[in-house]
Amino acid sequence: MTAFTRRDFLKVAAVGGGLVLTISLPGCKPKAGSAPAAGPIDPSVFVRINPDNSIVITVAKSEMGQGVRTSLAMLVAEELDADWNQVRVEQASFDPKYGEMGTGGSSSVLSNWKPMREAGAALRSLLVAAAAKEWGVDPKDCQTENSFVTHAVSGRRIHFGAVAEKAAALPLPKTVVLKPKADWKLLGKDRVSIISADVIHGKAVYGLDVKVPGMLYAAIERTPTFGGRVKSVDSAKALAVPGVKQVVEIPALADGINIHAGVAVVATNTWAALQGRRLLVVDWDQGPRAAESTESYQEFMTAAVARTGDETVNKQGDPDGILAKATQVFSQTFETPFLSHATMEPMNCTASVTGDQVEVWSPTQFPDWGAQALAAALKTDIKNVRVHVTLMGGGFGRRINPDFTVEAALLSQRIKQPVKVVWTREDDLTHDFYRPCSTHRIEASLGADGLPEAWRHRISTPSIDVFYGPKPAPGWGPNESDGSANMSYRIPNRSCEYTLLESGVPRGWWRAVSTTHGMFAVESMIDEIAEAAGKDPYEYRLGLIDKVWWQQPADSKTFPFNPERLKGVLQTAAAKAGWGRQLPPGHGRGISCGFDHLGYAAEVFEVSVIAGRLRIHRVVVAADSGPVLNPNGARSQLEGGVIQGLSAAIKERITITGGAVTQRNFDTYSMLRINEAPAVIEVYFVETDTHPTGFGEPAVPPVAAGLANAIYRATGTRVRTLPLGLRMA
Amino acid sequence: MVVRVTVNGRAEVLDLDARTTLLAALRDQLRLTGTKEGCDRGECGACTVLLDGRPALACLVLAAATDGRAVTTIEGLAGAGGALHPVQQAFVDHDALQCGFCTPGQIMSAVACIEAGKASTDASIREWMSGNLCRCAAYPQIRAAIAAAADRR
Amino acid sequence: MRPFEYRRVTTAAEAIGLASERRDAMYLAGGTELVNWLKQGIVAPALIIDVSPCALGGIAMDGDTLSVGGLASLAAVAEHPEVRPRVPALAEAIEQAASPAIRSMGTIAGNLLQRTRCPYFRSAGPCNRRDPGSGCSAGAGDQRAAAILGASPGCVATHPSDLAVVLTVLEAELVVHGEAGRRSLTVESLYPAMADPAVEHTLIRGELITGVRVPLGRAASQTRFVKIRDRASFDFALVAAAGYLIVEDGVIADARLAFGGVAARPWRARTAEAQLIGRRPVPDTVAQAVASELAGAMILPGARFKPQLMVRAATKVLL
Repeated sequence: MTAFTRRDFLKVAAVGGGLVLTISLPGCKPKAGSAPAAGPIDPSVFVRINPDNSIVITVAKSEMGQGVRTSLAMLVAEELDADWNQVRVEQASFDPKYGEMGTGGSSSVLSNWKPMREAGAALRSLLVAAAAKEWGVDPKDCQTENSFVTHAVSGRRIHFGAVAEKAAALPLPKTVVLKPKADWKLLGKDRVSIISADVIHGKAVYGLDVKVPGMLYAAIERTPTFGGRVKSVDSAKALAVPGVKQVVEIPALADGINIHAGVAVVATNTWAALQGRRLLVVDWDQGPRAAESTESYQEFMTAAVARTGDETVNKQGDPDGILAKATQVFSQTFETPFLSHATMEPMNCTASVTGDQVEVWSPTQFPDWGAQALAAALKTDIKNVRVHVTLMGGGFGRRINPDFTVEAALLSQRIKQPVKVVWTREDDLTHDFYRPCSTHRIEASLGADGLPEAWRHRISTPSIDVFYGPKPAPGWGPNESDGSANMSYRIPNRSCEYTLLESGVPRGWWRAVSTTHGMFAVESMIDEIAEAAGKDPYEYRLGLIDKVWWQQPADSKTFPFNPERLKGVLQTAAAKAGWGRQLPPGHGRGISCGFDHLGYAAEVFEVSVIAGRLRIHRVVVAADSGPVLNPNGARSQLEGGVIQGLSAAIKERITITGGAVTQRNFDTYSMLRINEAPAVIEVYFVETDTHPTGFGEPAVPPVAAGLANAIYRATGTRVRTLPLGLRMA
Repeated sequence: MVVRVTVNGRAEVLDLDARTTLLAALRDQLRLTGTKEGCDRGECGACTVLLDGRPALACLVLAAATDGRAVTTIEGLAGAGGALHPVQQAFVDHDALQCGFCTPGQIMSAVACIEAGKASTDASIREWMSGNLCRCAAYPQIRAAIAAAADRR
Repeated sequence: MRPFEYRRVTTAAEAIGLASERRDAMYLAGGTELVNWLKQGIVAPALIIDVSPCALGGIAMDGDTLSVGGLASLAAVAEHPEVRPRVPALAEAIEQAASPAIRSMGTIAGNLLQRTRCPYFRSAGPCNRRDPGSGCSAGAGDQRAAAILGASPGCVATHPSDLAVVLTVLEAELVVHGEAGRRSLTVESLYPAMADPAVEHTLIRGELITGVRVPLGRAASQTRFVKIRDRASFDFALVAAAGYLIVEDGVIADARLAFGGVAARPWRARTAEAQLIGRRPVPDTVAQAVASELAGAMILPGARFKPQLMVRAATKVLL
């Protein structure tokens, strides 16, 4: 039973013979460049019941394939006892009334779990009251099901749509009771994505499909080297292309938005814009970063992890003293490359700026950051900014950044016409905000019992935070050290040291981001020392999980790390995978587990490597993000997370040559295809009875180490540099 | 130049520059935006359509070369009265999509896969569909959907 | 993409007639290569002659010859009921070459005339093949795709066609029509003998490959094809090999072997073939034969893994 606490913010109104319920809260202003916050945030809920019984639920989070429109609508529909077939979802445009609209960090279910159910329950109670009043019966004797209010004693039934207008005139309830899990009808059952009906007909509108009246098209030649500037442009040939209207220089803009210096070719169609762009003759000042390369970064990071780090995070006990005295120190280095998001829909945005009025149609994960950035860059009040959120062809964190949105608006402001800026695949791959590259060095020593006694983990990586603002005060680093400093095993003497790699490469949030490389190092190293201790890697891990061994950052205090949940997923994955059971010759099994974005995941990989070719025979995933709202959607997220993690571990790598990205299209930035993805991925849920959180990210970080550990068991070779596909030679 | 092409059963007369790709003609001139552009280099499969019944990557076809031919896009797959093609139905039933951007191309390739008789085993489905990237990696569900649609036939 | 005129023809004679009038014309068949070249500015013809409506797609078993029209789609060849049983390597090379959509669009003649996948050929930096005299970026860059045999100092590009490797071993013949009439040439001689970044093929301007004739028989049925790469999907081969052995009384009586991914052309390994004859068909024999083929190899540091892959590939197809 849950007391309803937000009635002060509830509003209900009759609209067009139906009813609209809103829960409207003062917006929480997102910090520009802030990582998605982990913690409860109050969003707003808008539900409309029409006279024709259709129910429209506004979702203020961005749908990018994670199924948020489906799962959030299910929360309302469950408590409302709505007929799911009559539920539709509308995408909210930017409005401060929605609170935090930013979609990322597996936070949507986390923040909407209470308010959306409460809204559904409040609405249900109003509909029941209205029907009861009409029938002259006690509301307590009424029930609801499938969008009907019923009165069992008299056998009366009335559709929600028929009482909606009357319900709108009634006072809101003071308290509502939320259903216990046992009473769920929609939640906890498989639902297919609510967007699929449009998608399968090609009717779903993505950013790339937007068309507004009078719109022109633009392609932008951006500086090939990060930090480059335009010295001069000869646009004569470009302007001669039929259809090309204008060539406009776009100056670089930092301020956390990070628009590259570029030259835009504006035309009456995309094709003319691209032709014109090819004919531009731009003389570039390559800028201060043109000497940087993957090799220069590697040289720096290798040296950095060989010495004490510039920052120390979460030091406990005396790791240095113990390591100095240890008779044997186990020491390994792990390397990961920059990664691109490579969303299937390249970046794009349509913008229309008239005077101080700004309107954009953007496939953005963060319309609120977008609106703030637009107001700042176009020097207008945020009240004049409208951001329409389109469907997006994948996000994975890339669409958090407002660069592509602001760039289009700046261009529209300059040309005084609506314009769609289209990024080619080459633009998208060479001007991403990349998952940082990293080098990790872990040194560990064991006690007489074979258990780890000291653990010193040194990281060098370009920081995401530093890319967007000044370097924070000493002792900082929780973001970059996610997955490293919060290593969950019982090791009393431990530290995580960090040294910043200066780099001109833009960095950003990738699916589970820092944890993806930190956990690769930790879960590989723990496997190595388990072996050195002569212990089974699963039993070894299990025996080292008992309590919280690190200081939790302030924002996860509400949902503290729970060692029992980590143990739970580890035990489930091992049991389901038949850990310890004999494998066919040449096969190897590897395990890993971890905690990311409040979710727990453990994975077991079974592989073989024959004639240099890796085969993944089976993957077992156990995950605990609390109660599962839509098992179908959750399974898709976990499987997708595993495959994206495998793609990164096996194939993906962005390299830098002369301050620029080398890879240009999918021929050189190769990703896992359907024939390479594992044939068998088994997903098991461990549903701890707690506040539910997201499934989008937690399955990604354990992948690389789990795979590498399996490859070791199959071949005797440890993989410590990713991607492993490039190691074949 | 003028191109006469049948798109989704409708005779269309297009006046276009010879350099226009079929993808651009479909999306920009005919406003059939269901066919997606993911790479424009024939690498990702998002623009897969049927050209005279065979799978083709619209980004690598000059619109001029479709004169007198028949193109089927995702918008033209459903039958009379909006009856779903078995592959469309299977993609819904198996939730074989996440963001949905690559889905039209996946569905068109899947239709061709079944037509070509290559959907009888999981291995042949995987091989046939290897030209269609899905970054969300709905691959397990896509395989299941195609197998189910093939069974239904 | 420079503006061009598009013309469509229905016969080879019409195509050749048009091409002979216009120096700056190019033929368009499946388009899977040409359209990308146009977009990337690799070529800029003033006239595109679309030959796809020409009736040149036939596939027939003609006595002791498999006769394939130049415009037969890769899919049609691979799926032809007689091709797989009688020339299995051909079907395999096609199936491993590209995704189904590309196979259905691409033609057999077009496949032979593909241009290199060297990463620098298709990006903006210096490239002697694309922009003669600009230099070669592979010298200081990614060399995994680099040629190790017969490379010229200015270019280490490799030829990407798997099909060409198989057809080389099968000693297939191309039927070519041009202004001067019909002639035929071996697939091997379609490519310049000495690597020269300025010369892609030996066809005379305006010539059209109208057919491919593959001798049937022992070589056709026994030739095997393998492609070794670091990914399971259809990327272009790091090293491909096609070949067969005839063993009599425990020794090799006849051998044919060709490699892809090691030179600017499909590389018929004649030195290795000669080494194999008269010896026992065991791995050491193959390794030594490949080593002899590599006697004059020039190997960039980033391609040092290739000889080992060649041995593996040759062993797979021969033993």
